[in-house]
Amino acid sequence: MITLPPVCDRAAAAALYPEIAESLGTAPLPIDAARVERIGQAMLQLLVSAARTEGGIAIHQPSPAMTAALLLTRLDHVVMEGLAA
Amino acid sequence: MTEDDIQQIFFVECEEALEATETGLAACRDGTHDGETINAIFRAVHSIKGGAGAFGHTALAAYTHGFENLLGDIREGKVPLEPALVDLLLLALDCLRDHVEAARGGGNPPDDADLLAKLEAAQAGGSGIAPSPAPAPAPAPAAPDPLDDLDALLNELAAPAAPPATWQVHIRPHAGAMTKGSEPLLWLRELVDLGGICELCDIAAIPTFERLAVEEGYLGWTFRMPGTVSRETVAEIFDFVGDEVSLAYDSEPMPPPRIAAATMPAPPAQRTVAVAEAPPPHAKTPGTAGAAPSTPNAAAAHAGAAANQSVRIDLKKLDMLIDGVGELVIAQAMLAQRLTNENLAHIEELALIETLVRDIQEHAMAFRAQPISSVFGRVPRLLRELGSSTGKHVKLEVAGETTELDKTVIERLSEPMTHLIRNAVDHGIEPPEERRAAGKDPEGTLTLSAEQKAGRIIIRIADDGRGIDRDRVLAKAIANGLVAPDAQLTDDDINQLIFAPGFSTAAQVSNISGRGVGMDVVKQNVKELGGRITIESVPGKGTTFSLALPLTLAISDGMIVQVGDQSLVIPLTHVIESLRPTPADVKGMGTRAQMLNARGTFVPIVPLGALTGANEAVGNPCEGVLVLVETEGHGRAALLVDAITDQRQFVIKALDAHYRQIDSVAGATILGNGKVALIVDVDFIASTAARSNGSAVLTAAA
Repeated sequence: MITLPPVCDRAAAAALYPEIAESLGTAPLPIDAARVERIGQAMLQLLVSAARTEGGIAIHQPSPAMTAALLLTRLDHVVMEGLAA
Repeated sequence: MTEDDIQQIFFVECEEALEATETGLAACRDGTHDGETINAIFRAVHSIKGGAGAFGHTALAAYTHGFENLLGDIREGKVPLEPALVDLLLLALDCLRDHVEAARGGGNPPDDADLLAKLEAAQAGGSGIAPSPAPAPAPAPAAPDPLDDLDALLNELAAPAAPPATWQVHIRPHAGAMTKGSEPLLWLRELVDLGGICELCDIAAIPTFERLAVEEGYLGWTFRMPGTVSRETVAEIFDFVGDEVSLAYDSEPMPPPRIAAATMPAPPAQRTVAVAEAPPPHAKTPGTAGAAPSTPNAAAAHAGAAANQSVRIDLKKLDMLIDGVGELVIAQAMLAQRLTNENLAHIEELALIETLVRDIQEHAMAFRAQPISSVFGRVPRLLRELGSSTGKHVKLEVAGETTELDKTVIERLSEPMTHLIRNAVDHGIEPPEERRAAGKDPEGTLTLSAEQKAGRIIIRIADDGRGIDRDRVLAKAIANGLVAPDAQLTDDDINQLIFAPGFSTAAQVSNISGRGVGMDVVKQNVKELGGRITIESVPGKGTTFSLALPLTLAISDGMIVQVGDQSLVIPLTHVIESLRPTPADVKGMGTRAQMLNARGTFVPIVPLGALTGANEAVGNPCEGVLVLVETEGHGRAALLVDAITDQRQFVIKALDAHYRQIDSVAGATILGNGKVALIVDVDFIASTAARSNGSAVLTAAA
């Protein structure tokens, strides 16, 4: 399980990149988005790319800010399709 | 980087923008402006507006918007730039400064309703026509496809006439749009706030994870905007980011991502306001503003641009570097000393290290050097404010504003300068009627100048007013008990009285000056900086205050002298010559004092050995060496020492931080042999010697 920090700016995306790259496998990689308060384009791109690589990702407990950002950018379907039940 | 840090950067940029605006408006007032000046002002105000909007400083953003509208009209030539308008713009700038201060300090924004109304009136007065599409907003950046151009023209002509029910905007943020506090998502939110609906997110450019570069911009969006929202309104959102976002409208294709900038063809149909304002990175001309060293343009620092770049560094880090350089200078001196003991003083490597250390030190000091224009730049506003409250209009003449000074000195200079300028206008310069009666130009003149002289910076603040009324100063001083009624004082002594705490001759205490707290603070401030202040005043002609300040506070060149069993350092800036006198050159004066006949003038001899209490110091000038020193304002003195041992750089360690301030000692330093040497305060010694012709020094020492 990879946890997204409260502030998901470009620096956070750069910091998370190696960790996610390491963890992506055949099964969807679980990502905890409960603490997200702010998220930017860099992190969204990263998630979209991760979602479309290998087993993809599964977002757990997206915070309201996360959901709002995904709706705003119309990326909800791309990022959340692997949404864990 | 937290949001606070980014805000700090924004405020620093605001400062730069305000300065650029001030410079630009000054050029307008002097009539030396051109089209680029107006552009620079517009850009500066615009970038403040952009940042203010991004950080939620709504009052600031609203005000800059009004300001910018007028500037836009001026830029397009709809409103002629007349002197009255320049005055209005200067007022607007002052208000903008207050707004920025309020936003920074969290205080209440100034009341700008009147001013905004005036700005708007000036804007409407220029042309009754609403912004028409006919004058092309700006030239197209590159040579676009002629068809595109035609399309663009048609679109533009069609748009205001019959706006379509809804329209599309395609947004493609590039790498730079995600840096420096920008965040594309915030713009999208603004589009939504305007009533836009996201129709599509283009994710085709996103590669698989292993090929993903976090800093690149891969996403593009298409928004459908309601017909009631104009294209300009939307373009305005992106104005602040310059060319870091590509926009396209309606049927135009989505601009391609700029991932490998070099191989990508130029995006077609870039004809947005944002793009037109900032040329593409390859065509970027360095320093477009021509005024500020780093144009506060959000697009300035493009990742790929090889233009002139600057780095912001925390001052603490810089100070650590400079401290380190100071220690390096000491270590180098110690090494030299050790090698000398081993008879290796003249090896090549040592000379090389010495040169390098000196170079490093000079460069490190240059980091901290700033042109004094940042202090002088605030003066016009001060004069405007003083002008409106006293009714005295004062012309400002400035010379040498590029002179560079240590940052610490600059920061601590603005307060005493403000006091002196207030004083000059309130007390020095007469009211217009009085000036006319005296046959002077009714408009007073204040001259500020800065120059580098003998290792010091001399700043002069001169007015052409009535001069210091010495009789009144003396009478007041006697009345206040500052001097004895029968004291015989020179003109200079009387001038210096105005620095006494609580001294004021103003018959009326105004809110500008006259409370008598100012001048002693000035003197204190200047003294703390290791500087001196002197006054020249001619009744009826004016007064000049000269501040002599050290170039730097940390490292200096000095002469190491031996006095008995002690080593002392004499700062080289004061030394004129050193000599071994013949008995004929030395004249006795009274019982103890001695004077040196230095080419016809008599200079008091000060035996440093007696002052420091060193053992076995030479007492007869003919057996020792006399170092002739000169000071600003206190004349010359001849310091008697046993011998001169060396001449080298020394690092000043303040004594008051570790011990306490001692008269006649300016600080201490560590010598090559690891011993501590005191730095002689030449000024103090010379002034004491001059005042008492050496007798007080000797009595004190006896």
